[in-house]
Amino acid sequence: MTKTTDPVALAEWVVIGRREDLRPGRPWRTRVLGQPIECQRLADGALRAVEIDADGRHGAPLQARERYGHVWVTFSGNPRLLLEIAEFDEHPPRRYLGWGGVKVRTSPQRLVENFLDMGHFAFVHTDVLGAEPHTEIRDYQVETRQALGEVWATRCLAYQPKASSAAGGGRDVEYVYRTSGPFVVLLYKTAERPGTFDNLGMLVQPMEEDHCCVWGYTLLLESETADSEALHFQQSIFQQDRLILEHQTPRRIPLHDASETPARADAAAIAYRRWMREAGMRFGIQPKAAEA
Amino acid sequence: MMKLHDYELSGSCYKVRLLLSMLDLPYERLPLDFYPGREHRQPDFLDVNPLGQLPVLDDGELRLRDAQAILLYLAARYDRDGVWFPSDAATQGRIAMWLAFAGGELMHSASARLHDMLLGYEEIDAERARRDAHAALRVLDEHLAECEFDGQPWLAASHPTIADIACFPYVALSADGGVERSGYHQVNRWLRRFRQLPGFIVMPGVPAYA
Repeated sequence: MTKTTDPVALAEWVVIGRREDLRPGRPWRTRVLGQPIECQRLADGALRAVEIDADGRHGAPLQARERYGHVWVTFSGNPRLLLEIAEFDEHPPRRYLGWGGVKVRTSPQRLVENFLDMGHFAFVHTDVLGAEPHTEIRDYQVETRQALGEVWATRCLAYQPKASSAAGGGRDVEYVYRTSGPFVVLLYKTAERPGTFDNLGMLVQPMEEDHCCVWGYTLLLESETADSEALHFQQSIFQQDRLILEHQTPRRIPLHDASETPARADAAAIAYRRWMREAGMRFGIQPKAAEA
Repeated sequence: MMKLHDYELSGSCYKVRLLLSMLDLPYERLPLDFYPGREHRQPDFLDVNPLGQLPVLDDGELRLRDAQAILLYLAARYDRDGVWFPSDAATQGRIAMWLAFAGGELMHSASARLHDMLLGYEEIDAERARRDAHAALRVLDEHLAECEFDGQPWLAASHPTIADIACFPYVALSADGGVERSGYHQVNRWLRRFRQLPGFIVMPGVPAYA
């Protein structure tokens, strides 16, 4: 496809790679919201991003910036504010792990909703993030922070057999989910030390409406596990999701009809969908029947 | 104890983990940051395997690379019942044939998967890899149909051998690379039989059900 015309999507900052993926002399070519782009790191360390037109020539410039270990771009001159993640500013700093990008044939919204869904833990991440018979989703709180474009789900409780790569056994964990706009979702999750929370984020790069590259990070408080172990843990979980996600149809989400019936456990996804509906989002959304 | 240089998402490493599990052998995993760290291309690992490929198995002084070679060694060394790599010459010949297929034609499925999943593999011609993967699946499907006709439900013998283990992962993972498998009925039945074997374990992308 070509660049979307959806102003809601165009107003977002979108991740296109890890900070270290962009090195001088190595132009980084990718697609964002249907538009081929190129981003370069100049010799002085600054970033320069441009659209690539149909003839392969450099076109209009984009804004580019670095934050949270990743490179972000936006087509908008007046973008929605990039979210603030306080855990990145802590001293001493937490241990940072970048996941790298994984491509998935689905819409960004399917990815975010899967991330928000605790109901699949026991069935897709069996014996890791969930297990039968612990399949009940207890009630949790949902709040939309309209001014920030964020949805917060708090007091989400679940029993997890192996909640992290450092976990010795099963325990009850508390989750806080936070979506920021349509493409970013964070998770705060009880860490191995009681009273503390690990923080991780899934940063979706929508290349097309139904084709994404998924980036992410983990900020860990523990230092016992090797980076590779913690990374394999994260990648394994995501790979289990990828298989399911690629088989979900339609790939774009039906926001305007009743073809998918939410349950009470889906309160976070319901609020996320409501936010998109009220914003008038079109990118990644099944067109209304009359427009299809 | 044996050490396996391992990457969780690698189908080739999974072959070795499968046989280790089926033989109930203890081992230590040495997880490698294959992606995004590309640790397999760094000098430290190139000392372990100059080809820069996983898996690698260390057993005492012995160091082996190549999943098929490792399967052969483990079966010959540790399978006291001699079922995974039987001693009769014809069966050994058939097994060697399917080991080569697993490390050759079936790797087109692995290429398509790398291309579709991870970054840094854009140079792979994914359409061609998918075409070649389908050609390999057709060969496998026809072979399994003949096997069944002869009352032999496994690739190289009347019982499972390392030939089945070597071929299983990249067939089971084919959908990750956009290689749709629903038309290959004999292959799908073989995958289901394989999942019932004692000691079978899963990996991400290969669920226990099918």
